Amino acid sequence: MSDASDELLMVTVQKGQLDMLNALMNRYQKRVYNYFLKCTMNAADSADLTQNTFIRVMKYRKSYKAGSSFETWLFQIARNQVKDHFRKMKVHNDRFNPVEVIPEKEDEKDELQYEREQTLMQAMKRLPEDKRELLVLSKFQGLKYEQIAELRDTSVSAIKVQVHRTIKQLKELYFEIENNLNG
Amino acid sequence: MEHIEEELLIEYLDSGVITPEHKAHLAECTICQKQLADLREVIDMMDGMGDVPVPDAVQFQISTAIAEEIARENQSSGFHWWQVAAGVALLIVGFAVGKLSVKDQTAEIIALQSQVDILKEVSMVNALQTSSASERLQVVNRIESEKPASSQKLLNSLFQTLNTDESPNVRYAAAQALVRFMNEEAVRVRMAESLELQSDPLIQISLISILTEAQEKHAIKPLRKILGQETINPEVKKQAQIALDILI
Repeated sequence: MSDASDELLMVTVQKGQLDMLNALMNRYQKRVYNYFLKCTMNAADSADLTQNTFIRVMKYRKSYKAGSSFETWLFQIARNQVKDHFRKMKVHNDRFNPVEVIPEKEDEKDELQYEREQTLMQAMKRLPEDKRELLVLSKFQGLKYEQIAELRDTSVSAIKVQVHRTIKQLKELYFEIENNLNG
Repeated sequence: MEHIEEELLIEYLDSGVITPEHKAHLAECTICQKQLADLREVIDMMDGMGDVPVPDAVQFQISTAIAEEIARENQSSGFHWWQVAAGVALLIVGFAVGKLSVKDQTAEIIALQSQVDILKEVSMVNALQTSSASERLQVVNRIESEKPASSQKLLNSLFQTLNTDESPNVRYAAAQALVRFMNEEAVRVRMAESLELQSDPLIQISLISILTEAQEKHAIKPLRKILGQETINPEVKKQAQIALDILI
């Protein structure tokens, strides 16, 4: 089953072969975990949300429509988790641990890049949650505008405009933080 | 000509589309070139940042959650769900025990123990008293990943967690964190004692596997006790019998 498409695996899960979910989990757990990590900037919360997402995939497997994109459906579930999470969060913590969110660098030459990525994550943290999530989907997770439009129930052109505006805002925040750091 | 709007520069980076007028302007205008370079830096960084690996504990939790969910689904159809759960537990314990076979560096770690380690250990031990299962799990996972040196206080806290924590996820994580200290006889003896205290079949199977791998003879007594009890889960008894055959 290793070459089977996501959609075929999901239909197999739907038909009662629940252990096939392990194959889908292996394919997507890293992306789902990192989606939560960059949205919430918190490793413990991301661990819980990732676990809940895969449990929901199993519980609500009947609601998956055969023939539709599994990836989009999975991220729909993940998005609902993250929205609930932000709703429940009473205190918004401005601090985050970069080690939890940014991949390790292999050698010292990458130190500068690591520092830049830290600044980028600080800038991401300053974006409103909804805009941050939009960039996580579009840039970090590489979802197509069409998929995000489906997830957000809006037009592709509207999503494109929103993504471009948010990149502009992020760039301003990024260089503002960098300029402050440099003096 | 006025400078190019940033949205149009982003569109250019996004899709490669630019009007001939803007292209000509860009070739001449250093301000627009700088804007473009800044945008490119931020976009390239987002595209190329990559993902953090999923911690073992998270994979473990998901696998366990799936196994439990499968069990719940199958309960009504009379399926022996512990077979599935035991399979998952053994798979994961096997993974944890596998780490032991790598050259053990505990002695080296103890030699390097500093005041910082001690402070870290105190903060971890204190943090294990927190009320949320998610927080406690995080602390146990930190003990697993940061590999503090062995100390009585740390071991006491881990065993207390293994024996009394209300969350099965936290208890599993404590058992995993203790695998690293199985080269100490006292830890193996306490692990065997802990087997007598456990009532959750998944934890029982995990501990049986860990003790069998460590060839711990102190496990014989609690294993026999398990075999003699009527109320014990059949899959646990099966694993206990296999373990006894190996240890005796």
